Amino acid sequence: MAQALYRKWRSQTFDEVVGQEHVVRTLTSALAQGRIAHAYLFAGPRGTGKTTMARLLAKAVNCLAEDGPKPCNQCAVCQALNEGRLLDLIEIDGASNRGIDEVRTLREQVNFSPNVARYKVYIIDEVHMLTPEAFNALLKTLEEPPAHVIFVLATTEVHKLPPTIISRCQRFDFRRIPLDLIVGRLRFIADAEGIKADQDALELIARSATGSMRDAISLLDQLSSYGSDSITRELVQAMLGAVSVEPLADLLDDVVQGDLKGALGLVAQLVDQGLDPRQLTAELLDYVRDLLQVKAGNPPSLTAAGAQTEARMRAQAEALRVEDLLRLSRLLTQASLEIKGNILPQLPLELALTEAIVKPEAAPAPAQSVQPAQQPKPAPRPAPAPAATPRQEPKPQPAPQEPQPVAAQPRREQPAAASAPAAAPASTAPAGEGIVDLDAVHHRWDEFVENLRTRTPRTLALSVQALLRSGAPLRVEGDVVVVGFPSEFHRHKANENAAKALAEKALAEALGVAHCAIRGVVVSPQELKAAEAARAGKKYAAPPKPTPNAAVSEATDPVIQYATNDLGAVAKPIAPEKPSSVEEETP
Amino acid sequence: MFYIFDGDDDFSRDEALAALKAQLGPADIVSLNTSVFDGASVSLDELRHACDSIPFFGDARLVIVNGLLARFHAPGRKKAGAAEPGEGEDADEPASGAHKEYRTRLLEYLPMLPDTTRLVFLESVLLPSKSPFVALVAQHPDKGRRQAFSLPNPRSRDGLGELAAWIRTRAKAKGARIDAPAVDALIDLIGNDLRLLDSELEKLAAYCGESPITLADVRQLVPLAREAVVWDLIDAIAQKRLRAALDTLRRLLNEGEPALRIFGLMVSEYRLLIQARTLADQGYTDDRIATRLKVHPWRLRQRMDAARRGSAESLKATYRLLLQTDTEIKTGVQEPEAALEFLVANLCR
Ligand SMILES: [Zn+2]
Repeated sequence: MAQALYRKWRSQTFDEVVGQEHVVRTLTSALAQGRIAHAYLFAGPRGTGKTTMARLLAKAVNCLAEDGPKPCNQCAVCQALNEGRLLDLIEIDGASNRGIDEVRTLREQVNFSPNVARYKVYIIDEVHMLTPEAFNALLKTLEEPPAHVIFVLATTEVHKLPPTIISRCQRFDFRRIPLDLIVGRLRFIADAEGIKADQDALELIARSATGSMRDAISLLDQLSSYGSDSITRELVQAMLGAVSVEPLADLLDDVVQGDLKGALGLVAQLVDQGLDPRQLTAELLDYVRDLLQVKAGNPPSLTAAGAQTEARMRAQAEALRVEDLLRLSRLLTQASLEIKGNILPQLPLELALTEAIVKPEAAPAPAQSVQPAQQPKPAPRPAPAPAATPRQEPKPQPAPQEPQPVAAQPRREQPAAASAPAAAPASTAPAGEGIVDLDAVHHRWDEFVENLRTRTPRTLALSVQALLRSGAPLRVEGDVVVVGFPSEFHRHKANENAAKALAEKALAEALGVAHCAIRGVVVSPQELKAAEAARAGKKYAAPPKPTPNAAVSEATDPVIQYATNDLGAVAKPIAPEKPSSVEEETP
Repeated sequence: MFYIFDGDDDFSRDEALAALKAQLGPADIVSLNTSVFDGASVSLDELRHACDSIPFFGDARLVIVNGLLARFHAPGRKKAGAAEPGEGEDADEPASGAHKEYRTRLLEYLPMLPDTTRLVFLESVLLPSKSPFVALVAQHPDKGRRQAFSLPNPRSRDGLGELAAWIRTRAKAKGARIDAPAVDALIDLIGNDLRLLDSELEKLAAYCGESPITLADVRQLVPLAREAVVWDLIDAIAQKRLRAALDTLRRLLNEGEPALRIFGLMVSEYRLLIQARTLADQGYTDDRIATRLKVHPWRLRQRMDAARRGSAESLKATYRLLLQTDTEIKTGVQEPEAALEFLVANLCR
């Protein structure tokens, strides 16, 4: 069923073949001169037209047309072949006929003359699957092929063939078919079949087929039989989990403009629509790869970007340095690794974006066009979040965000911990004797964060690591290390019991103390940068002083609220679908 | 009539045999009258029986023996074993007396072959000039013929010229012309594998038609040119040309070249660069480096520029980075194609 459309629209003449111009030109010209080899090797990725070309070749060498282009598709032989009843075309699947016995049988049959055609054509697909003995037997035939026989060996893995076989064949390498050619072919087929399809839907199909025409047409086939009126971008997204290029471009715009809220909001929205965060991360990585090409002056080829998107990409490439793109790619790669098996699959992506936006790598030169927005946009409503738990602490939300030295109550956990019955016993006891000092923390911090990956449970450890990478130690209060984070979202995650316990244990070990605690607070990007610089031993103009107006009131942001709620932090009456409890994460 | 086709150039040998067959008549009749023997096992009686039979239908019988005459000389063993030449002391042949007798009787028999029989000895090594069989041909030019087929050695100046001439002649025979850079590139990529050269020329001739075969055509059509393309990539990296480097890489990937194989080729190229640089720093000339590293001088000359660029330490650092990325891919930390692109961009900074 899925193959039907592909079979129907298989190229019947050399002119119809899409891509592989070098093969078509060589073969047609050789055929015109009657120079036919006895063994061909067609190598290349799947779905790039190897067997189609082999059939065309079989048809052309046997076509009875007196003149005009071959194959004619009119004569008896052409028709028999098109209808799959030409006995002289023998198609063998190498994967299921891989043994010596099958090849021996083949060698016997090879000696008989063709039934009706001029040549017997043997197409052996996936020929790399043959056993060594079978290859040996085949080699004997290839060394002295009967005059009436042509072999076409097709493979996706040419490096698995013995060199002796390769050297007996005329080899052609098939290439991935460029996106625009696939889109063009899809459009042609869709129109001919009366399938209504949006252009961007076709682009999305082509993109997910990564150069394979067969895959692309099969996808079109599946989508068209889905009963929907027309094939839209949304349908393709839903069916394939593919992300169209616009949201990716939007996300990158947010990165360029330093709009953290915008980026996180978009991610939440896309995930809400049912997109798999892993897929989203992978697509974003592809987009960044293309952006790198654009930056270098080459056209993008992974993302089916129309002229409009390409213009956007150029603008983005203009605003970002190669370093920024490489850093972004590193962050995304790291995120895609952490997504696997993560309880909150979108978290690593969110953290990666946050880090890319909030902590841009220090620009060496005045290349400040890169991150124009260092300051977060002023939050629309400075009002305290009503979502705060009604229990105790009448203090409004913003309080703990301000890094003011509220040393009086060192690590009174923010309401976040409320949902967890066990409020981290270690942290409630004031066990500190002030043994922890900031220099030591600064000194050991990198190592401590780096070594987190060796801890268990691994998924949690990697999350904690990613989380701490976006923060920086601010100061020490007794045995409490206060860590600044760029958003409430981070702060909240860091203060979660399981994460906290893991981090505290690791930090204590790194510092060589019996016990220490970590408290997360939200700070402004400037403060974060200052803390970061202080840690790196650099002088930095702005000391990490409390600057009241710098407090980020992202807690009021609906997106962050959604995130916090989804994390199971707050006992809100509106129950989230997945009240993932903290206990799940406890080691 | 008997023929001796000897030498390491099996491609030309096969062609000579095919030409001989073609003289004897239609292929199907010839194949009815053909016997093929393995020289390692055929007895003289079997051989004589086949040669003495009268042809069936056609005019001639064709008897082909693979690797019999070289057995009587065993050139490889002379060095390995006793210094004395000759077959008497041959430990691998238990019946050395019988062996000698085989040779003598065969030498006696050959001039008496029936006129209708063509006996062909195919030998994969060159027979020594003092071989009694070579002498026999000289004595009976009407009864026997010898044709030696030796591959030109691309490492020697003469061999190189010979090979280039062969390529040009071959192209011409296929109705094509080929320019000098294309010839150089083919030699560099394929060496003296004449079968492969012929097959690629066949394609190139069809592809180019009237216009001469150029370097660009070679790059387009010859699969092995991938290795040269990988070199382009490294050259672009050495010159920090980001655009060219990324473009070349994307092209390779789109041609279906597996990322890991590109990595492998890059690793071996950098290894070569480091070796060349080390030798150059020790004062070796380019020619001596080429000899030491067993690479085509043309290929080395191309690379010395990149090898001399930057410090030896930075070459090594790149090499290590490459290996590290390779490991990360194999352990699933990175997706191969993306990793490769980002690595290349990184190296271009
Ligand atoms: Zn026809």
